[in-house]
Amino acid sequence: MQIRIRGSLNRYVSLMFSAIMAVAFWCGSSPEAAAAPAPASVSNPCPAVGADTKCGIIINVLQTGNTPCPPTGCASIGFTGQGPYDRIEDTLIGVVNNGKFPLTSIAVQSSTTAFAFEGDGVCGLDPTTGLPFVPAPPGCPFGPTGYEGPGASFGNISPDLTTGTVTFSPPIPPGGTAYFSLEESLTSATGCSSVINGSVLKPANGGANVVTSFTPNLGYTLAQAASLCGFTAWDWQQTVTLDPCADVYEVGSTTPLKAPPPYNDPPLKGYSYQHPPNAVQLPVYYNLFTGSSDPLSLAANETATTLSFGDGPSDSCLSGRADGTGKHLGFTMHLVGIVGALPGAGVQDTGVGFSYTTTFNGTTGGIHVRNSAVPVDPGSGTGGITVTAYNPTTSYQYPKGLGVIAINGVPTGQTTTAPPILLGSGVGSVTSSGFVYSRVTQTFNTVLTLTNVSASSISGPFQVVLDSLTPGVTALNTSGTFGGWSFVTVPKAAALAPGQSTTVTAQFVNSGTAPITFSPLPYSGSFN
Amino acid sequence: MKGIHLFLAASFGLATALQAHATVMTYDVVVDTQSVAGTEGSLDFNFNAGPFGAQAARVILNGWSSNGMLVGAATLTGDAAGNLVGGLALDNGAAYNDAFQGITFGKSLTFQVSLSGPAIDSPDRSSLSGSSFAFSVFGDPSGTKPILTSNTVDGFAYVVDINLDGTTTAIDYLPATTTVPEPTSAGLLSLGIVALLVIAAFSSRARRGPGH
Repeated sequence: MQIRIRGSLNRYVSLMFSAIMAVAFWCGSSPEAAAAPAPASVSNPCPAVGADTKCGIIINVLQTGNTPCPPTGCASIGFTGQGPYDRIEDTLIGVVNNGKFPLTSIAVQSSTTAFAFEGDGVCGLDPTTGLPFVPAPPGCPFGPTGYEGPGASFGNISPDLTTGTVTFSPPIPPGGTAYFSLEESLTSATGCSSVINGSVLKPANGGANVVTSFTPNLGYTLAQAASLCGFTAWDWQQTVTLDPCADVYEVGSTTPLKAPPPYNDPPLKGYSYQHPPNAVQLPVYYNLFTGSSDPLSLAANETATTLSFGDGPSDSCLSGRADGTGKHLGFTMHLVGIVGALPGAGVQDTGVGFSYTTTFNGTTGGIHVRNSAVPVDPGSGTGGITVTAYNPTTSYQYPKGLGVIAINGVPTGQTTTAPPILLGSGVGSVTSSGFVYSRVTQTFNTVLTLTNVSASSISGPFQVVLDSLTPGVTALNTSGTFGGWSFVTVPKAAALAPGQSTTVTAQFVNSGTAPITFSPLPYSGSFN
Repeated sequence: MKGIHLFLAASFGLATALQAHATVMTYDVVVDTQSVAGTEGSLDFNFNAGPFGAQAARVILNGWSSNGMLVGAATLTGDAAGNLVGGLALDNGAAYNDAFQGITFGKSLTFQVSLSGPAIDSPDRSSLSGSSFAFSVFGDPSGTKPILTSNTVDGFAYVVDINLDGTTTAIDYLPATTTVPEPTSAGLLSLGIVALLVIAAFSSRARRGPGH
């Protein structure tokens, strides 16, 4: 855990103190102490600062005139893989002007408090040593905050400290570069993923129970890892993707739950067979609202460093085949972060986890007492677990986006993208047309329809994960992978009003003869 | 000749429409192939369920008429049976249900597409996938060069989707000169009624004779 002064008053006292100390240090230092400026280049506009050998983020400005932005946008944001230069959270940012006109300013927006300056800008003091960063940019300081680079200054900072304008004087000429720094780990795709990737164990095949755990890398506690990734806690999100038995009910419902569409395990009101029902309130696996005396609570399933998971789903209707074939239940299980404070917290899917099926047809434990503290009795049936996909790495980048919202005072119309949120069965529904086969492209094509079945509007963009796609089938028009499965992006849908639908065509090549099937998992937000 | 064609179509539409919101949905497909007459090409018909589970359905192609010439027997895949001349049936039970037929084009070809089954006459409202029928026309025997269609990417000339509520939706990629009427529509029902009224009027006038 980093020792930082975080109280608001203390923070500003610290800010002013650090800034004064830094300026005093730099003003008192001899000119000889400053090394010769490292030549800036388009590929690396930044000097080495602290832990960074180059920029953490490079903003590539493509359009500086008043003409409309190209389809790719007026600016692109690139992550170089460098972590925070202070080894904690601060970001070194380079700017490349690839437009046709001089660049006088950019307005940027972050999902976090990027302009909450604390005195540890590139020309400030290293919070670990209390001294200037080693190495530091030559020629410091460049402005009153210590976060400025040569010719850069800050203004129009929003009250919530997430938005501000960086002005360049003199303007950056076409082909020229500049750099500056901002607060928070805007590049922490590296930071967060470094504690997540590979930290969820792949469960074993064959048994009646599926068991895994999450232990953050680098010796982080769960709380530290959560803080690094912008979460308040961790949990699991298990989604039932296939339930052919249709003999499980949500409390108060006479309609059996079955998939697709997917539903959260457990459903919002809990299973009818649970007494009392495990109403999780959030679409997660372990209950955040109950204490450790509840065996299904989050508190009962985590230590300071490890979050455990266990389930023993079964149903007497399943095939019981030990080879995993035949009638089976399907699940996708992901590590998720809790965003914000309870009770109004959100759930952020990291995509790290696995998908599995079970053919276990035991009658003691299992689905009829799913989430029970009593594990399923392996001797009560046959069949078992088959892990069908395992994804140890995340595409989650925290915080999402450093967006450029204006260039030379002209709004770009672009804002930061929202993180991916699984649209549960009570929110988003995916249906499809039949497959039509094209002899020209030799592909099977189907139109997926995403409908907002909730009473509230949902903001886009929208993605549909092709979970548990038939082996031997390749999806073509995909935007990437999430959780080990390909996903397609729904075009031209900024939001869906209640009852509103949007469509996307999915295209497949089938190298085998098995029917093309998958469980569609709809998400709002962006995976990239 | 044209009038006779309309009358027949209208009568069929009347008969079909009276079957209480369709136990069978029928489309007449008429393709003007005059521009490719004499070309050795091919036709493809496929009918498949979607990925999330669909109700059973069947497509029957009948009423085949063309002054072109079919080349060889159709290649059938999956739940496909019969032939174009005697009637071709495609079910949606297998992963891929297809009929591929060689043809030397004449001036036109016509056939009827009839869709039926539980997905049409008793939609369960719980299935999450529909089924879709696709018809393609190719200017080569191997079926790689789509012709007479605006859908040059996938090559479909005509697609009919069976929706989850039992209705159907047709997408016509054929040129505007080609007509694909939908005989089960209310419009054709009206045409059928009008046609019957015309017949009745002529009959009545004939019985009354001239001068009355």
